[in-house]
Amino acid sequence: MPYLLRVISLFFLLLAVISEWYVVAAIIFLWYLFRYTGYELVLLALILDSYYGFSNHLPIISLFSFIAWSFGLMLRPRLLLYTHNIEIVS
Amino acid sequence: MKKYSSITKASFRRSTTRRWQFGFLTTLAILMVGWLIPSVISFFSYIIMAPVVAISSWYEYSEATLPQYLRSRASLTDEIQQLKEESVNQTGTQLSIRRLLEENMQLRAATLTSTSSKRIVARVIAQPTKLNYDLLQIDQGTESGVVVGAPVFLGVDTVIGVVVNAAPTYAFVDLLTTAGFNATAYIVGPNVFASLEGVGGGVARVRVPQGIDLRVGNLVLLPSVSSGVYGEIVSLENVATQPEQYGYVTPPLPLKGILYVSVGRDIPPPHSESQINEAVRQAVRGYFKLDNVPESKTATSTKNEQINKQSSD
Repeated sequence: MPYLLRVISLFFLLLAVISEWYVVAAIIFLWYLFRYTGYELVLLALILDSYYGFSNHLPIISLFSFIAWSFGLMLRPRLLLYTHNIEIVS
Repeated sequence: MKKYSSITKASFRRSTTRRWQFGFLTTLAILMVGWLIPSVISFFSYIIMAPVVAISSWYEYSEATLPQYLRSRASLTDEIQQLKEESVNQTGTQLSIRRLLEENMQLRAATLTSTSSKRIVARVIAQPTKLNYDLLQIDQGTESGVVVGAPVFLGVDTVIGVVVNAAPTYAFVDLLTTAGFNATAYIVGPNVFASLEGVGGGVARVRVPQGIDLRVGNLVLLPSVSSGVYGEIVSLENVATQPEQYGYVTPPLPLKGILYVSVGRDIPPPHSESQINEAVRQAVRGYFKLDNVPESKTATSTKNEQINKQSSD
């Protein structure tokens, strides 16, 4: 079930980008970034760059998503209530 | 079974660095593969993007009902909003035009009256809703020749009040409908003289004894000031056990609609009984004469008919 939700949200993210609903895409992107690990977002960005033909220009979408993922990775421990020494389930 | 990883703050710091390194290397590797062998990435991209592109194309180009509805709904909603705004603007414009037309007609009537009978045309600058009593404030005063006691007319000969206070540049007009204002009126129909008293709020009433056939629609004249019609009876109060009955009269225009008035230059002189009777007789006879009938259609223009007959022969 959680994997199904991830697949559906990634699918809608792709659909939003293709349909130029950038606000919706940004919301889904941010939600996924902080809800899950976010690796898939970078892979999705690579696929999008390939769809738009990145071999002829700089893969801007991939670079942007990698930077956002890195930023999210740094921010997650501060956003999660990580002050308590409790186990967290990954 | 859940996979637990007891991550404390200290160990998470190391794990973040490891995760970042892993992500960076993976991304770099895929990018290198993509640059060196683009067909590999393209193949995977084609498989993953095919359903997405299919749905996107269906939404944008399909002639089916649902995508058409979804596409056109947004534009129709915008169009509805735009049309609503246009309609509101047009209604406002129409109201403004109507008001201006009405004001123009009143001004024309007042100007015609002032040139023919030497009255002073004045604009109403405050009305009973802004003033406490049935008063009008006009923009002409003693500098223009307005005197206290002068009658104030609406149109040609409909008196509506009298000047009670005149300053150099403005004046106050007491309306006939002011509470306590008394005048003598002539009621057409029963053909009797009656006392007209103001009730306030733009309403006056005539008081006649029981037995007189007073009806809604009877015209009320004020022969002491002019020979014109003041108004008509719009409502009756008739209690059989009371000795008197009342007919309520309102001015021809609502008070808020009075924009221009004309003020007589002199205080009207007192009239004798015969003068009043004559004025009433003239006013009543005047209703049967139409002013806008063309001459050629009247029975008195035989000369024109003869000329027309000759020319046709």
